[in-house]
Amino acid sequence: MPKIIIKNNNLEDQENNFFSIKNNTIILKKSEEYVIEYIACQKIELEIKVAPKVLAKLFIISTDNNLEVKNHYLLDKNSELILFKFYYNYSTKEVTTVDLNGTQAFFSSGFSSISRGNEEYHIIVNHNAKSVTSKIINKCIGLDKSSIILDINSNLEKGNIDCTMDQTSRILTLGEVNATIIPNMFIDENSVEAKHGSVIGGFQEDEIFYLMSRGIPYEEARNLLIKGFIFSNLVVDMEKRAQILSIIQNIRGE
Amino acid sequence: MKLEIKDLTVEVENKIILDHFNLEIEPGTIHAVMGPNGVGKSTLSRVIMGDSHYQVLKGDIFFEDESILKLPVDERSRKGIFLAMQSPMEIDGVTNQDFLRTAISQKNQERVGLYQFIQDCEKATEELKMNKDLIHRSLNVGFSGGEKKKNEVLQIKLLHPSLIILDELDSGLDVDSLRIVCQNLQDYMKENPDTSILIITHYRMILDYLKPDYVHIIANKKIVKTGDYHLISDVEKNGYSKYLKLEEDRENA
Repeated sequence: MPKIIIKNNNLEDQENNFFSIKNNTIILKKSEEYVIEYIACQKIELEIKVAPKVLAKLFIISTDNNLEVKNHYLLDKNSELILFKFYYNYSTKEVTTVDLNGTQAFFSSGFSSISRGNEEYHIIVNHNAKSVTSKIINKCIGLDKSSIILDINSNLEKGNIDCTMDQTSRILTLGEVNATIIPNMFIDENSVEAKHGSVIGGFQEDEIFYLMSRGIPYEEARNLLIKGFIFSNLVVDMEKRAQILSIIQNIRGE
Repeated sequence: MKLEIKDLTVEVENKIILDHFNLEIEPGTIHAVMGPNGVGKSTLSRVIMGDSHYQVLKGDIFFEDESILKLPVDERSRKGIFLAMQSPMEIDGVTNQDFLRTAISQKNQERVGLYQFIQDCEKATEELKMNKDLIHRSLNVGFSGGEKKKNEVLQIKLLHPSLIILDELDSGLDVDSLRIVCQNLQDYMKENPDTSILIITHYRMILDYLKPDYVHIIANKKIVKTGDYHLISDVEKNGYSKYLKLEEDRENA
């Protein structure tokens, strides 16, 4: 699995069979599963391009950072990017721009986070060609007095027919969390399939009751639900799963 | 194990649902509770399990001669009470396997080994003629009505309760599946002869399979008639109206 480490905001230029990096532009050349890890980073600005006809899977993980990110994804004709992202930062401000530039380009994003500070996510998806697809699922857990803003904007101009767009966001509040979801779809084309859903709230009492009625104590039931919430949105290898599990097991917040 | 409900009055949203309700279930016996919609049959099951939506105003519930009213839901379960729910919850992201292993580990007070768990699961799913893949899927998510009910019985087989409450287990089950789950419950009773079952149902077929020792009719917030298996035929033939009237007359007198 090709891995790209960004340490202390620094990304070195490099070239191999799977990807090339030059001036903070990463080109994913092969249909592969890639990992990007931010370590001790504060400011990141990347351009990530998926080459034509490439199906790339990318997992980005960031923990214990005070992070400011500005990433730009570009997808060409018939290219696909399946992005999974997990954050457990002290604070995050992120702007993600996705340009679906070629017909049949496909972008899906599963983002899970556990927030303990101020988190702000702005996602802009531009459907710039015909028959392109975007599918965005955000699942954030807010702890204690954290603040989460999810601002998602899907744009479609007239003429780019047969596009599909889907945005689903859920914020699970475990404390006095200030949570906001702004789901926007700016569509100027009739031939489109679009859907969105947003939910902010705590655990469902019936879920807790069901788990407890099988002998599972409240704390354990809560942990199971948190685990389910996070992992239902991620596909990760065993090593990353274990890393995320250890974070979940240590979190508190009511 | 013995369950005793004594003079129980239960309220939800300022409305009395059960009033001076009494019921005794001896170990190894099967009881059926029938009655029109909305008389408190499901309430009874959830109050026994400890659902905090319902407020007990008066009376007590004893399990193994110990009051359980102050016990939280999970403790009641670990004592041996199991409620097979009418509409089992769907929980996205929590795999059936993870859920079951956690529940068994809590019941046994030690982490169940993976090998043992897989063996027990395979045996139980085979006996229930369940699709084995359901173990790896999110809990009840995308399961058919029948699969959800079989999954409830799978939990019974793995958690070994001593009091089983079946809240409309027969709803959502086709005739073949109903026969299979009832056969599994009969086998469970044979292997665990002290186990008691409380069946809440509207239909005869599940009772034909499980053959209750006692049949109770609930109307007007309490049991108005207790009989044996033959009471089912009377209900089927004449409906509940005469029992409702009986209770009205009693109250008026």
